[in-house]
Amino acid sequence: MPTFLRVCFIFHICLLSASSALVAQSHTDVVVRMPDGEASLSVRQALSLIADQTSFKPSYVDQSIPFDKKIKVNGSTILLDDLLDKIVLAENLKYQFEGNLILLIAVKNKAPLKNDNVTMKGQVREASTGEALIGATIWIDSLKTGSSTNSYGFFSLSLPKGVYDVRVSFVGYKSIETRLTLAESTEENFSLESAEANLPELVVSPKDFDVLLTAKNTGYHKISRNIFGKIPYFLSEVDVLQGALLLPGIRNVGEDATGINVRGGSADNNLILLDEAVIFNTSHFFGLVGVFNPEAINDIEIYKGDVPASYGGRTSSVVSVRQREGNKERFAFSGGLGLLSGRLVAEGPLVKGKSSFLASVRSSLFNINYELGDNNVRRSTLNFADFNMKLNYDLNSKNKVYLSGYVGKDRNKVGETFQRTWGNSALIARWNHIFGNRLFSNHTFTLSEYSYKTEDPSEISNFIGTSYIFNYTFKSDFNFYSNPDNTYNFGYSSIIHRLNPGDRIPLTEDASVVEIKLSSEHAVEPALYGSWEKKWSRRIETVAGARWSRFYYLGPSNDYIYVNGLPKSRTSIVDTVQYKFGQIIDFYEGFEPRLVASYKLSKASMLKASYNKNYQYIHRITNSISPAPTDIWKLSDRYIKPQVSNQWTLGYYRDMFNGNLELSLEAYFKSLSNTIAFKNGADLLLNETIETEVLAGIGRAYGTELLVRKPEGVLRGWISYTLARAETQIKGATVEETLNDGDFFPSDYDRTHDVSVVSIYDEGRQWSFSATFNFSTGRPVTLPDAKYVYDGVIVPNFSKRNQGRLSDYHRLDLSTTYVSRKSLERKFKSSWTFSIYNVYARRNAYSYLFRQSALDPSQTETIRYSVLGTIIPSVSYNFKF
Amino acid sequence: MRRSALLAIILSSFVLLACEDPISIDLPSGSTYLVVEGWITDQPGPYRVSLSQTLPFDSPETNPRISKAKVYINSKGINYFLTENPEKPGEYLTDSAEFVGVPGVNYKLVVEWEDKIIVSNENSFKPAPPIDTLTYTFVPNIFVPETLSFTSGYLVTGFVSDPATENDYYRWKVAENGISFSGAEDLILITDRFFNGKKFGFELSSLLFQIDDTVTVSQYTIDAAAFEYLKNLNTQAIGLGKSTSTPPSLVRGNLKYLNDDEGVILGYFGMSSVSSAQVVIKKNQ
Repeated sequence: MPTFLRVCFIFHICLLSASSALVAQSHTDVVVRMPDGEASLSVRQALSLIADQTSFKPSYVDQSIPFDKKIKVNGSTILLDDLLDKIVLAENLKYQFEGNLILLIAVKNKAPLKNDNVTMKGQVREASTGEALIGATIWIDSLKTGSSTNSYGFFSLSLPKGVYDVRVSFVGYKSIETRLTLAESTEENFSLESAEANLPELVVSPKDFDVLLTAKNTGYHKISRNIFGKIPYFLSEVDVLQGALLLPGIRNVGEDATGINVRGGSADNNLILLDEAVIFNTSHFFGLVGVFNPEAINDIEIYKGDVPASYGGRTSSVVSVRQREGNKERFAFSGGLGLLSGRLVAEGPLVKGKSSFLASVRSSLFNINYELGDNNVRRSTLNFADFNMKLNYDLNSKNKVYLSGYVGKDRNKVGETFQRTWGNSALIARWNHIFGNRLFSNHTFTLSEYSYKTEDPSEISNFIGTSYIFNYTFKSDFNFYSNPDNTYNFGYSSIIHRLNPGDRIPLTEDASVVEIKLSSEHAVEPALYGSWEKKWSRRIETVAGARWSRFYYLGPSNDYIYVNGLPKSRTSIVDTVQYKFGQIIDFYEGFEPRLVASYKLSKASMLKASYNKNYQYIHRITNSISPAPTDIWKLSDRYIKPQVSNQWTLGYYRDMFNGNLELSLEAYFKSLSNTIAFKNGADLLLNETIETEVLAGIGRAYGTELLVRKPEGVLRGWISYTLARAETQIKGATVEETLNDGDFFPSDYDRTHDVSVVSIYDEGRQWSFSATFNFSTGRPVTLPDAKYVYDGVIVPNFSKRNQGRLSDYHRLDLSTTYVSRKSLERKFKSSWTFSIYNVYARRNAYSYLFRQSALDPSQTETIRYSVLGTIIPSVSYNFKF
Repeated sequence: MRRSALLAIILSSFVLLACEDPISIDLPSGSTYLVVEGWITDQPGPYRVSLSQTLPFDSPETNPRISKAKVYINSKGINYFLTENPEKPGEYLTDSAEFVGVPGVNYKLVVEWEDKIIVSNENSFKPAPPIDTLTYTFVPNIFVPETLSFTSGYLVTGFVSDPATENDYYRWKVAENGISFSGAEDLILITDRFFNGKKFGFELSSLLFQIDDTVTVSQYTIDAAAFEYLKNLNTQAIGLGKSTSTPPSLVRGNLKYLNDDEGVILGYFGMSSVSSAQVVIKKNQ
């Protein structure tokens, strides 16, 4: 700009000669007009506008002026002073008027004042559906700071005033980079487009500052839709929890087993949440199909190391499953048909841009025949169905409400009359409210129920039996984003437990059955919690928190008192104490500290250490190693103490190849107390005195877990390896209350080695492929040390539990998905998925059976029992429009 | 019918994926235990008490029998001695002329072998209520997964009037045309917990009979301890290993070494009274 430079030069000379002589002009009311239709302009343009439109002339040296900086202007005009403010904002510049000159003077580096901080808050959404994105990152590279969106897609960042390059990114989505001027607290909302929307050329977004290195927790996994929908499943029935078994430290007992075992814990040690509501039974069809309809699910978060203070009540892990919100922009339908079930989802806006809904149903297609090992000659059939729903409404930018629900049912019929039904239901109401710029609150009310019903109207039985568990939870959760270095989370929750452990009531008066009613159980479990996330320096961060839980076991109830020093049994009851409604019978409390400290070793690597304590006041009463639908739950009472876990985790995390590979290596040690086991031959059916069958023990679990993950790209997936040990000790006062002479022995969930390989190959063309491989050491089993004959039957004798092991488990699954060429272009998209479960037909042992030989009854034989011991191909069809 | 049958076969196919095959694994060979089996009833004797020892589970041999033990039943201060069956070593028999079980009387078994004395808990038994009736119903089209075929037959139900007392337990033994079902899967145990004091029906749901079969049901009254013992024994023999199964465990009976609570004696000395009923399956009952 030659003219400009010349002007500057001339005025400098004037200034030197006769500045004070000039009459000062007022600059306060001077207005600068914006070029037509422009809302922003560069500093260069601004200076030129000032020179052209006013009687003031800017004066400066080129090097100190950020000519290309963008300035946002609201309206068609701006006061000269305001425009100058914007020019110097966040620059090492100041301005002063000298006559008709505006001197733009470079100043020495000055630290931004604390009170210059402003807040940028907002939401990150998916561009095509308007759904909130959870865990998206907002990164400011110049400050090396950032934030991620919370469970509702909100973020808040407190920053010095200035101009920043902001990058917003989320795995599987195209990142946005934008330059923003932060002069005052503002709301900035971002919409990210799915990377897959640009198929066939798959966009590989540059790796952002990374979820791995910013996740605050140890032992944390997140499985998003673009992973769990792509890997092979048994009969192509996508089961989001079964997908989690491929992660380190997570196993189940066997192929038709319900529930997961995390770091050596039992299935009831996991808090499984659907939109914050507890789900008590996680599978349909005795473990073969998950209760979560994959089409309705957004993502799953698993906390197996450090559990955030806002969660509690279980000793192993928290598995939080979130339902999708539904498309806010347009109506959409999707669904599918498999060999077992059919699914249909409808979603769309209720009030465009403000409110949306999602509803889904799934049902088994036929009455499925099955045999569960019982010797009944009558035909046994099974079917299942479930329904999911979610509604949300943005009342305004500060208030948002949600309503979601789930109902699932399984029905098992034996013969013409006998019928069993069971299932979960959940109702969730939530209100998000933002106070000001930095305080976010979420208030949730949930109702969870699991019930089990047996009916037999036939002449000889003629009864109805029920058992249920109700759980009402209220929770208020607050996040306060004080500044980028300090975030506070705190809240309160209260759970009301109501259990009916079982009753069996005759259907008619003349029925041959007597009425049996176990007394119901009641308790209140309030908890207060808080945590403080602090960035001490660029390298060191901590999250320190605690949870203070209390548990009141309430009447009405009958408490049995047993003879001291004798094993508890029905014959050792000496007294019965009756409690009235609402009377506090027993009380427990737990102080549960949580601490995570992280240290950044370099830009791409980090160390983390955590400590975590958890109390569990509710226990599943089951005498089999895998949960059954008939299982009941029991609250802690006089005899059954709360289970307690202490866990220490140490982790090393590293980004490799510019973020194309992630490595995490964790070691943990966990101690457990008051774990529950059952006496030999325990009778748990409609038992009024469950405590007579229960044994208390302690446990310990330790191991290392390695996960190498390639999160993005045409080929993605991971390899995980776990080396672990889980042991139990049951040492009671008497022989009857002791197992294995009171020594530590391997628990049912002990797996020495566990390897998983997951790979997904997806070019975004018509065919995509995936393969998973799993290897693990066999589960501990009890082997017979002798045999004898009684009543003509050969009986195996088992002296010590879990001293042997099943043979190693391994399995390869493949699947391929075909999308027609038309589907890639059209709105109606359909695909076929072909899966092969157990490709090389390995007969993995579910257990060993020790019995009399069928051919020669005088001999014994060891039988390998496999549930899915052969190759199982399947196909499913999916559509979306 | 054809179509639904076909569908049932297709849908059952994956149930058949569960498979069982014999394998050979290393099993521990633990200590050797003494096993005592004895049962007395109110029916005419002689009653049998067998003494044997355990073997490693995979041993092809038959369990060693224990001879030359001193075995007697003690009741009201009198010892009724058993004599070893010369044809079956290890089997000891009562003198049927001298000894018959009587309901309400206490009995105790004592075995003296080598330098050890083994005693059972002292116990008595209740009289058995009669089996009022046996009825049968026709069940068509029962799918047999093992053979992918259909069959049909009759299911038998027995009706009993349970006495008003609580904790009555029954064991049923079933015979078809005079031949008893004696496998572990044929052990039928009934508790009155769900129908105390009422007339109840119990369906023999695992046994299918055909026309002209003579079905005999013998009802043995047992006590809570025997019920629990037999139930646990049955679990160990056939009920382990499936996903809904309980963990295997040592089954303790009602016998112990004198002055030694820790030592393990396997087996059970039981007593019961017996009632029975019979029915012949006829078409169109």
